[in-house]
Amino acid sequence: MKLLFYSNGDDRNSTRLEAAVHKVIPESRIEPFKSLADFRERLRLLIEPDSIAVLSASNREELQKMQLLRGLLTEIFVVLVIPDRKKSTIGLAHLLLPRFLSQTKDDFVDLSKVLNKMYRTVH
Amino acid sequence: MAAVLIIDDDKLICEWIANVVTRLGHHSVSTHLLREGLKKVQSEPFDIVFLDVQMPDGSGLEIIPKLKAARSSPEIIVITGLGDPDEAELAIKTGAWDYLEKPASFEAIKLPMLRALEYRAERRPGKSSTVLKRNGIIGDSQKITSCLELLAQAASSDANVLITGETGTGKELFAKVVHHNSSRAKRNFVVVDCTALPETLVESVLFGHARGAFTGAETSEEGLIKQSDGGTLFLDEIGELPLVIQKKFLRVIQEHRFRPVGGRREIESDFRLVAATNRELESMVRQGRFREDLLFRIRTLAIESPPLREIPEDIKKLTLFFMNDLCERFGIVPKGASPEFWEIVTKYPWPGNVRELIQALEKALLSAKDEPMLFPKHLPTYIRIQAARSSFPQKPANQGKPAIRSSIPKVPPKLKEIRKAAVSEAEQQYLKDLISFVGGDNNKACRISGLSRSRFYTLLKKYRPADARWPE
Repeated sequence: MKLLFYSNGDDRNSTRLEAAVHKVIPESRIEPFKSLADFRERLRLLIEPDSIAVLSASNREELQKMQLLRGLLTEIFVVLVIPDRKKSTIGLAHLLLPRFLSQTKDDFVDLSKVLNKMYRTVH
Repeated sequence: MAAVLIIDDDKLICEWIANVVTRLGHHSVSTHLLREGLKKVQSEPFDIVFLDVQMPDGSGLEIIPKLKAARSSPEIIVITGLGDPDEAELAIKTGAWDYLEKPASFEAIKLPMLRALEYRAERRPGKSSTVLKRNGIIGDSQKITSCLELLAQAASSDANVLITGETGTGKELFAKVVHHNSSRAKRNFVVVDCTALPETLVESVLFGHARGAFTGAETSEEGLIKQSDGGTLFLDEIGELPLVIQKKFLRVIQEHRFRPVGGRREIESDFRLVAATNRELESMVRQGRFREDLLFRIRTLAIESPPLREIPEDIKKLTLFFMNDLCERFGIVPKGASPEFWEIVTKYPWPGNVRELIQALEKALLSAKDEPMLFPKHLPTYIRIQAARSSFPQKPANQGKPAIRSSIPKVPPKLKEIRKAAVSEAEQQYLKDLISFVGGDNNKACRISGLSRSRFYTLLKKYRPADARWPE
């Protein structure tokens, strides 16, 4: 199992998200990505079974760009962090079939709990 | 022969698509302006229109409704600029069949075109009403055909659907097919992964919560049930839903009304429910772990996703499909396969089903690297071992293995061999007892044993086929 972590922000929200992920998943299993192009290239390589992708979209445009990854995310559990909870944003988010939805301004406590459960289920 | 119209101001693109269309045995016409294209569709019947977005006289997306309104109601395949997600999203929303990114390869043009033609052929008068966009369901076996008929039936109604089947048989794919072929296709398909959600979170995630409902609830939040309003709510692994939530959820299914956590008033959601599980829900009902009334409610229509070993005639088609798909994903040239490779692939029992097949093909393709052909040596070792073992007549258990506690032979085997045999025997026995105890519930087996899912399946593959007495 690997956790592919995409977040290109460097603000407080991103730092908190990073901390929430690292809190429950061992460092050795996390592969961080700062660019969607790099992330896309990674998805084109072999991925271990039961892997998770945590994707953080800092704005709607980024979430739209993530739609192009859909075909490459079919065998991965997606946990998605969205910029807001507008109807249109949520609609776009569900096209990626996320196992859990969080928002950039959340405290990520729930996200940590979900990741922890996912990780424990496969280990 | 199908009639295809290509609307693109780039003459080279028109020529390339026309070339693909001709090679596939169909007829094409090209125009370089939207108004000309629209005129053509309104005066002649076409099956498919390839439509460019950026045209000199406007945006192609704007004329999609007019093209669809023509008497022949052609399927529209939109050609978008490279990596333009806005256009792709809008294209699908406005009713396009599919979209292509420029520059498109032969395969990229061929596949959606053939699928669209297949869809139109099935939709012709006189054909049965059980026509579906398959969205990746491969196979023509009797079992898959029956599933498709049920999926079509499900898609044309709003009945609750329960999809059962072993892990890796594509239950989520079935659920998506129901949604995409239903009248709710343009609204949300919302996944609730009951395995991933901790018990303490399920309620607020499903029902949402009001501001101040609990510590940390600084704003009110819509739950997944509300987010699926007008669309489909897919409850994956519904057997994992805690009993207390089962009771609340039953009422939601009956009334489509519920109260968010800490909320003062009830809200409505017009969702359609599709649930899936790899559990024996009847046996869970007997054990008091699943509500019988809920089971009756969710099982208005039941569909069983068959394991791969029960559809051997589809294995080759599935393998070819995933080989091409993976080659495209890995950016490698499509490969052929030797007869020996097919021999193994079609005979192996695939206990992990389609998911295991995909993983095995991934490894085979990467191990073959630049070689143009797949051979058995490219498959994972455990599959080749299984193939080799099954080519011999079955021997009684333990024959040929180093004896663990038998009379001491004159020349004792190496300690390593004895240790290996002992570990192997212990693992096999443990696994057999474990499976028997959990009654085939693999999730429970993983929980009890502390094994990861991948390790569990590896052990299962290693030991199950060799032992005829293995509990089912």
